[in-house]
Amino acid sequence: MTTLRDGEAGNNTVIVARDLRKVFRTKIKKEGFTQSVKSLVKPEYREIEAVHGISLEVPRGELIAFLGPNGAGKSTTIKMLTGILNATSGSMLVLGLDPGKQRKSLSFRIGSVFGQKSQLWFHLPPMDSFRLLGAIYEMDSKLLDKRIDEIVELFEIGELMDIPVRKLSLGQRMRCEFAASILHKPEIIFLDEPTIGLDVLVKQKIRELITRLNKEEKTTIFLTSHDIGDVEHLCSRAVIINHGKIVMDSSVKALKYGYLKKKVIDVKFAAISNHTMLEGLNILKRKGLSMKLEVDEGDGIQEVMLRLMQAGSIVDVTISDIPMEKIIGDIYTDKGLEGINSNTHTDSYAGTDMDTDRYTDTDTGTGSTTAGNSGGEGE
Amino acid sequence: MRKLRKYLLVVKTGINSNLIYTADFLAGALFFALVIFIFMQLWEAIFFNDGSMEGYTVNRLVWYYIAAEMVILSKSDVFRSMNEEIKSGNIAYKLNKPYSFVLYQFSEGMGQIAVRLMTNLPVGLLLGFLYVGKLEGLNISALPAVVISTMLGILLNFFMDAFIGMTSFWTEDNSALYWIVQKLSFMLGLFLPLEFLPKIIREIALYLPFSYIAYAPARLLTSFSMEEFLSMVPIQILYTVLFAALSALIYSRGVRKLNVNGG
Repeated sequence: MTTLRDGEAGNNTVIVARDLRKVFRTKIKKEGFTQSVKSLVKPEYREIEAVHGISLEVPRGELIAFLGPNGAGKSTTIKMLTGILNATSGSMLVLGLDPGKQRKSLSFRIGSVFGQKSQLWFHLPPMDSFRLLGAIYEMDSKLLDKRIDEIVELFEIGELMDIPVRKLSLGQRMRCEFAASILHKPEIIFLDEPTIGLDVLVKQKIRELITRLNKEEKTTIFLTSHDIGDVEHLCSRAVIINHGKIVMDSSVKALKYGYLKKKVIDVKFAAISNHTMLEGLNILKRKGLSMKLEVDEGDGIQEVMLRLMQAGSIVDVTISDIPMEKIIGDIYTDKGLEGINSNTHTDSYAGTDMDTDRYTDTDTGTGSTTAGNSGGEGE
Repeated sequence: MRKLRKYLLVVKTGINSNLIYTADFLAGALFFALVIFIFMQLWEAIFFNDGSMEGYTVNRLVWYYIAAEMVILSKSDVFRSMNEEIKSGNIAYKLNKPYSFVLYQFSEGMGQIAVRLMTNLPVGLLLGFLYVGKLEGLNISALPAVVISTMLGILLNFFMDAFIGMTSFWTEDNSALYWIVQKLSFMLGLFLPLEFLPKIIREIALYLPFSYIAYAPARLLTSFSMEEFLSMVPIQILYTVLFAALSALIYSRGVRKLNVNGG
């Protein structure tokens, strides 16, 4: 394992990972009784490479989204960066520390929220957990009091402070979990699916808090999510991984506008009188008198609209952007990668050709395979 | 000082968290009363109404059982919590904090034990007095020795549970192992004083750790002798230290190969 030295990647870089790999050895068991006995006597193992050579640099204060389908290696990467899991090979520095060797020193300076797990004491009100965490982080009691006041106000959880955690709703609990994780003013906070299972309003609230934290305390945010909304509303940079590898590293803006050069037109005719006008158009889906087309932005729209109007009498028409979920979904399934120089951190993401014939969705285009599912990765 | 404070606060929080349930407390006390009543009936019916066996009268046997059961009932949930946390992956939250994980578990366990002991002790004393009256031949000056042995029994029980709990790092399900250990502790000293067992089993049992959980303190309470105190307490200390060291060792090994479940 090569080691990185502090400052190697510049003082402003808080996370550096080079060729990070994690291999799990998992016991395999075929079905059936005889196989169960056999696996007792002579267990068989299979090596699973969860993370396959990830290299990454994150500057201080960045809001970075780490995306990927279930089992892509997101959580494993976070757990390596926070020192919970040891990397099989590769090297990393988080705030100048080696997470594998300096987990304890590092833990004073980072925070984490794992959306599906809890760090609050279930039977006690959040305040008790806050006080305990303050002691664990060796905070001065006056400072802790001040910090708790500050956070309680910021998160608007004053009225929840004396209610046992088990009686809180998921949304209330998540706000408290999040608050608990920033008591010690971490420089980086790792959020592993922080909005999972939350309703729209709570999601918005949590997003708002993340943004404020990033702005007001200059906290670097490292976020994984299945919820594309999280990424769209929060992050400046998106790293997409699949099968343990980075398939794309781009600014969210570039990601969006690269695709936004195309629009989707949904049109419904009362009757079609001139079919020849439709020839040569990029029709993604057609059902009776309704159809969905893809067009290039700019002149393309005007031309297509003119032809559509000449083709028949239009009852309804909608022109929309390609949904973010569809973009990400395509990248997960390697469909949207043509023309993209993968694994580069680039802001120029224009000129991407979408593989349009796979755009088979019926109405809004949100049904792509892996994206947008907030109930995913269960325990 | 701050380092110590965090563990003390864990103990305190553990106490608070376990004080919540009065229903739990009532059920525990009821269970305690019931098993002692059943055992008392059993002893009376099986072999004597008056007289004694191996130096135990019914009175002593009931007090023996109360002392032994008090140690066993005043245990922590460390096995279950380690087992669940490793399996569910919740351990991730416990690992990235600036403390010693083993000491944290220990402090939390001590909080639980303190609460259980605080309720089981008065309940046990009350039951003993109600059922059979004052312990015959009680040697007041031996009580400090009994307290020491009881504390050691509880600690040994804790570290054995912690040790088995942490085998979850390797095994998918270690409840079977836990069950076996529980039954051994039950047979070797809780259910019957070792004196009632065949000589060969008794001698083997005196080498094994199980009897040093409940048998040692209960034996010292009901028939104290300096000679037995000096032979049993050092072994209690030895086994406690051994299992504490094994827990620390298995933790440091286990955490390196940790495969956090649930992604």
